[in-house]
Amino acid sequence: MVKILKNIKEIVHHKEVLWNFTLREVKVKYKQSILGILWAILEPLSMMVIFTIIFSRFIKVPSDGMSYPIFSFAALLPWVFFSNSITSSASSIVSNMNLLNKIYFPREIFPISSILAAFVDFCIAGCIFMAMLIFYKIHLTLNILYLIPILLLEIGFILAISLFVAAANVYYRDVRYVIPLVTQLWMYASPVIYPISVVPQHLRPFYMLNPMAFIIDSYRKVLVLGVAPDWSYLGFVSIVTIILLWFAYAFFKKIEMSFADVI
Amino acid sequence: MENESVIQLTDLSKKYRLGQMGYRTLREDIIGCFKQVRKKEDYFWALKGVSFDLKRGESLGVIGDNGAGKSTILKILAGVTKQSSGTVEKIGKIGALIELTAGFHPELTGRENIYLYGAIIGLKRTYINKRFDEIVEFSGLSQFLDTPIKKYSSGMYARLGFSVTAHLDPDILLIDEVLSVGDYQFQNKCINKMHEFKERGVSIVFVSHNMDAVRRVCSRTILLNKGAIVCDGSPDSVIDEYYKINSSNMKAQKNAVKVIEIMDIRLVKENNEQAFDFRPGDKALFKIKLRAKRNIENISFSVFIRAASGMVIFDVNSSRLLDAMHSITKDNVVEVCFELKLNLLKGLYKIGFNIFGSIDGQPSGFIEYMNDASSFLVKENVSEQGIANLEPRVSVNI
Repeated sequence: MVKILKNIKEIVHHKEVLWNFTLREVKVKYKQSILGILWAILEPLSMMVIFTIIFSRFIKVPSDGMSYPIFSFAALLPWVFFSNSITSSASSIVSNMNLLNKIYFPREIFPISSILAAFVDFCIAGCIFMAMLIFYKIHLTLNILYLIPILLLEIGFILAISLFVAAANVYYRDVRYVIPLVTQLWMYASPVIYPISVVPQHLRPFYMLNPMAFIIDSYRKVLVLGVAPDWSYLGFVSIVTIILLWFAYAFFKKIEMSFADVI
Repeated sequence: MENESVIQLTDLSKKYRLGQMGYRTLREDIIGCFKQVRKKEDYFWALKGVSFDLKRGESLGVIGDNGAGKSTILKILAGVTKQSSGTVEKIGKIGALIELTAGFHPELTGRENIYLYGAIIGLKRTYINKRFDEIVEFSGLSQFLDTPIKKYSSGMYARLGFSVTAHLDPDILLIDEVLSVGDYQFQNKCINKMHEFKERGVSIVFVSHNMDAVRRVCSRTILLNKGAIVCDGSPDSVIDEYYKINSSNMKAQKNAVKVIEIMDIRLVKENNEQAFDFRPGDKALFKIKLRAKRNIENISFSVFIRAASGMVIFDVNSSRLLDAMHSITKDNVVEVCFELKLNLLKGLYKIGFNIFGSIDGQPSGFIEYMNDASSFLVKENVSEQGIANLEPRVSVNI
């Protein structure tokens, strides 16, 4: 515990590097592209359009009474944040090897800045979602405040996975190639295009082992339906996330010093 | 306080498992698991029992061949990697003058890169804000400040990077081969800046292949060979030692399957005695003896001399000195002798040569070269500075 506090203090000490890396990632992403900032919303937006056409026009997938565009965008918002963070974190350390070899600052700064950069996209897409809520005349309730713990939980979970994949990718370059496949499968295992209610009751306990299932479902509940998330799952996912984060961070710190030797 | 050690390395070793150098694929490891025959661990010692002290304000040059362990020492001092055994004690803030381009991003503008690079090497944003104009002025790039640096030339890159680095305020400064980029003028600017650091009492560890720079910056030098310190002393004596070791290694290297076989290379004095030390104005004979393994027409030889900084200070081709070109047939033994008057000042110089010719009627081309065929030292303390001895005379009329 003391060790972790010390590590966090060191990150704070190097906050300028963290801030500048995040800024670099955001700037570089938007600088060269003609569409610029639109890229942040293009991904969830185009997926929403396609999902809407396929899963509400061609195949009738239930959406728990929400209109399908809102239903899918509410899920794509946390999902795209998750998958983009993981993908860019995975290569964050390896692609900075020339720095890693020469100068020391806490190595977790690399994946954390990748997550922060993805968070900027998330916020921009969030604004679009707010506009959609107004367009669909959905009234927000006070339950929207649950978004804060849910978001923190998601960030914690993303951080745990990111630390793990970023470190693993240093040792096994296969990781980078495996991630697109895994995130794809993971999306189908999460309630992005369908509601949890279609999952058979007896499979539900297994299904809910996936923290993203709870997180995505909660976004819908809190933002669209205006109800509180499921308390028992909130507790369960929080514990799982804390344990995962603890392990991932300990693992990361343990092998951090050998990154420069392996790369 | 003067004699306080700021860095103390004691019996420092670093080993890499040979298989561990570099990343693996998962498949290799899984297969490796099943293969019960685990090879006896092969280790590679990057450093082996290295000990030294660095006193406050001292500047230490670290020289040696590639792979001798120079960078490993810097990595351990910078805290990027850990030693396998031994202890490292460091007192004070460590700053690293890293490869100037490592922290840059090509898509960002010069202005943005100043902040990015500054943060990487540990400068606070507020501090950069305060010194921004100074940094820009030093770099001389104010017109290009809002241009993405991918449009910069490599010299501009280096200038921008160095002007940021010059504002570091460390107790110990680690410098890794930063002088390999940039022109002569820029290198001089860097060296002057290092002297400024020294005057401020900063201790310096300077890794370089540029012997001239080591000589100019450092008060002490260590020579590494295969991970161990071979020599520790004044830059002049250590660098001499390095060249002596190198030139004896060079003789052992015979050419394998080539168009010509170099039989002997020697640098001798007028009396035909092999020599390493010369005095300004001495005559030197550079002799190459070779055997042709093919028929070579229009053979010509060029000889060049480089100063310790790597700069070529003289280059001559035999075709310009001879009236006619020679042709040689297979198994001919040829002896070439260049006579050179060494109007040079104190310093270490390297001689290299190229051989051109056309083989079996093909167009003429490069058939052999050797960059460091031999080296020599010009001794004697003359008060003149520089490399060339222009034999000055002066008269003052009032």
